[in-house]
Amino acid sequence: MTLALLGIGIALLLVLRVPVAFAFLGPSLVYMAVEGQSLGMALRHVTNAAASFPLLAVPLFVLLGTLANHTGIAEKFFRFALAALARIRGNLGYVAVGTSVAFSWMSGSAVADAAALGKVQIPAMLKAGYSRRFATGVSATSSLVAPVMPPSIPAVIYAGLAAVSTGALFAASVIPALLMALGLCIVVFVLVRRDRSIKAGTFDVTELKASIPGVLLPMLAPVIILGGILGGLFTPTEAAAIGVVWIAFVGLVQRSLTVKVAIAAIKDAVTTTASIMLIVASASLLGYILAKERLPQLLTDAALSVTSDPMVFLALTALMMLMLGTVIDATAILVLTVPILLPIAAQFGIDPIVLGVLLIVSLMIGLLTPPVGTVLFVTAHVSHTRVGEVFRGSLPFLIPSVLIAITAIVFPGTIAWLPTVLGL
Amino acid sequence: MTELPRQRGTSGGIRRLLTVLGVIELTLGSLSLVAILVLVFHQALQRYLPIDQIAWTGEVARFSLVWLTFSVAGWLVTARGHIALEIVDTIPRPQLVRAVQVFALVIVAATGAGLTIEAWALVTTQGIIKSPVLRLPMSWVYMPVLFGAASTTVRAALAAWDVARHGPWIDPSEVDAETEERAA
Amino acid sequence: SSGGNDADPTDAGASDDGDTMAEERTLTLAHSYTEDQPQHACGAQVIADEVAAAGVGLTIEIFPASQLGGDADRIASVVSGDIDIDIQGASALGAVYEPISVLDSAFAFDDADHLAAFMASDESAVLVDGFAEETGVYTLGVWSAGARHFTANTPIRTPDDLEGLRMRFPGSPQYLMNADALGATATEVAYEELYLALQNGTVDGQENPVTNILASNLAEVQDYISLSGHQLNTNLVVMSPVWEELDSAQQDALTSAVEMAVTEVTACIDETEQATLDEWRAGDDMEVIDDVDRDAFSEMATTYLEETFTGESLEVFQAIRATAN
Ligand code: NA
Ligand code: NA
Repeated sequence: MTLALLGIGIALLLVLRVPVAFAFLGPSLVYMAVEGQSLGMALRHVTNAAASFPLLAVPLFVLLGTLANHTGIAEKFFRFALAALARIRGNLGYVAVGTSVAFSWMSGSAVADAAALGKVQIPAMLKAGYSRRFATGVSATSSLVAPVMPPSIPAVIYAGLAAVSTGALFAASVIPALLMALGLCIVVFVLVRRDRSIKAGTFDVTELKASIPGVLLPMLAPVIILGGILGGLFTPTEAAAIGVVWIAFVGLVQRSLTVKVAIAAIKDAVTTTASIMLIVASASLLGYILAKERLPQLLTDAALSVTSDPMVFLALTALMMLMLGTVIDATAILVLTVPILLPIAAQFGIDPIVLGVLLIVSLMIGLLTPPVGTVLFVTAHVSHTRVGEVFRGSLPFLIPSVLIAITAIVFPGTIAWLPTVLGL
Repeated sequence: MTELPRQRGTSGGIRRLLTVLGVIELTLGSLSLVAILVLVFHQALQRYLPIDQIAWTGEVARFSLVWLTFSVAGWLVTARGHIALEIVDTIPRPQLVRAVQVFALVIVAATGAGLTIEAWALVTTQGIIKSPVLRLPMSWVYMPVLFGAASTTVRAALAAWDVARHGPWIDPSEVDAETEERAA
Repeated sequence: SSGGNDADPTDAGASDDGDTMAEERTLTLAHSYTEDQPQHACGAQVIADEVAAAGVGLTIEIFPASQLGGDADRIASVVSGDIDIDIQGASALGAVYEPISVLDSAFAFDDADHLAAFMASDESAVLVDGFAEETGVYTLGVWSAGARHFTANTPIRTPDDLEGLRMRFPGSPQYLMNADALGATATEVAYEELYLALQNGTVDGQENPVTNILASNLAEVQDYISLSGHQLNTNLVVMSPVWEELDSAQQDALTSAVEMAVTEVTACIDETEQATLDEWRAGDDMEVIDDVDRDAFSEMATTYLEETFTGESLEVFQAIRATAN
């Protein structure tokens, strides 16, 4: 009864455009008061959830992304990729994917990626005669590589919740992220083949040479971040700080980092972090209430009575993530569902790393589906395109992500392969 | 970034006050972020350089994340930076949109008031609990939280009053991309 | 009408006519361990079962795996009365009452028997009463979750063997003080990242009880476990001021349930430790070093700690040492 009231209340507040954090906090505060919990208990829980050591990587990876964005690294990658792939038909499609992959090593969230790269990629494609649907579709979907490829904000949040190694989850995500990119390239290939109006450009070796210095130093960021973590030089949180210092250094060398740029990047990072962390912290209070009401046990029993097949459980989980992802923010979903899903997954003998990769991939698809499709809105905004048009353009490019989710369900061993080889 | 259009109609005095408050909030948030960067970077360095191990870096960095989060919670209300399902805004009935927006802001203000009371309770009672490493009284740690909760309440109440008097906030297609950028 | 009958014997208001029938009560018991760890299976669950069997109108509802919050959060909730019973390490409780963390100091206790003897003696009153006076939190019992030992890729037999090794210690003041006392160079790594950090050589070694080393598969990434037993990993079963509201039958039932749990946990942990060590001795994953010069470590640590502790903490340390054999 209490649970039903709470659920209906929160859903109603969300629909009536109350921000996610407050739609969780408001009813939770009422619950705590009704239950006679002492004053201050609710907020103490909220602040404790924010004061978590693994979550320290969130502000740092966000800052890494905003700094890379404001110092114009996205444009430099774009210029280089375009010069390198000049003679290939449909090159701008591959360039969009390639630039997103390169930028994904510095960005932990799809939205930052969509904004930074969409501004560069989409106008270039439209100018070259690509259809608006193709241009916005490939740009929006390729930004989904960022939260899967390390560093990843959702991975940091998942690792903190599931008490698994962030480094191991990062390692497990590399191959799915590269497969996503490969899948996107295949879709580009198929679509470009059918469109005879798209022509190849001409290769200009001086342009290629001129574009190289701009990308050399930034390309070391993944070596420093992932190499540093897997090579044992530092922990993931420390790697985030080192990454920030490295990109700042690159910005100084390339003379793109001024005091003004630094302040803008810090301000962006502060507001982005605060909006993420408020949701994490308030969802954690709601999670406490759900635990008090014994929801995790109820759902565990229900899941075990429905199926004894881990594959069915994973498929149902992925489906649930896709559905939740269409209406609620991905961070909130992680904080609410991971504590509930983990014990069930343990009963089924599912590797928490595999579960993490599956959750992240399925949730990221939700970033491209209305009504809450943040990437959809950002892409529509930066390209002055209607949201529905971007969504239709994205559909063919979502096939690879869906296939990867299915692979994770049917062959979980493929996800666990790299961490196993690395002995993680 | 310039002040957002929502403050149209509010008196000059209040507007200036909110601007000053905003500068304080963003400065506190930025200082917390820089503190996290410096402390975590130091923690990585101390493993390799012959510099002294500082035991409290982890603890202060964790508190800084709390301070960062709460110090700009109020600013985000005015800047529309909180992540919300804004689909209602696309309904072509301004009176309905206005009513829903006022309702949402009143809920935020009420929740903010609840948080303010909770934060006050923590500031006045948690002195007995000490932080594990520095042994800071936890009541100090909650002071910036109290500030953020109070600012959230005041800013949401002002915004509700503003929307009620001057009509709904602009529709999403006109929203600065920056607001959306914060979402993931 | 059927409602509002004053004479209804099931009405809650009717039970205040005598102390023959105790008030039905449900107590929340929270902890951070998973359901297959001995602290839950042989500890929390035993307390709940024993109390239920006593039939004194008490029910204990367990919330494992930090469901009701992390350590720091939960102890604040115990103080405020939002959680009734909690199981925590002494160092975490140091946040509300500093001297209690002395239980986690290096070479305070010789073994689990010494811990039991200390808790049974009058010497422990300094600690338990001080804790209750300062915070209102009542200590129901203390058990040892096993002694902490060093692991590394080299044997650690004497304090000199720690030279040049980056050892991971938990980041709380008592543990860092222990590192200094033992002559180790402490470095901070989160528990979740420990495996990776050891595998990569971010740190060279660490110290934990056998059950933790087993649970996080550290044998895969470390060559030697040196049985230094330099510290007992104590867990306290603590209760909020609600303790005062229980009647004497309920208090007795709870006390004996916790006593039973202390015995059970100690036995469970001992069994797991022996089995694990036997397995390591038989296999190639991890070599067990038995001939650690514990006296050298003990002498060094005790001297350091007696010089470093002051005030109440020193009193507690000396009280503990006074009950050693
Ligand atoms: Na990334
Ligand atoms: Na969505």
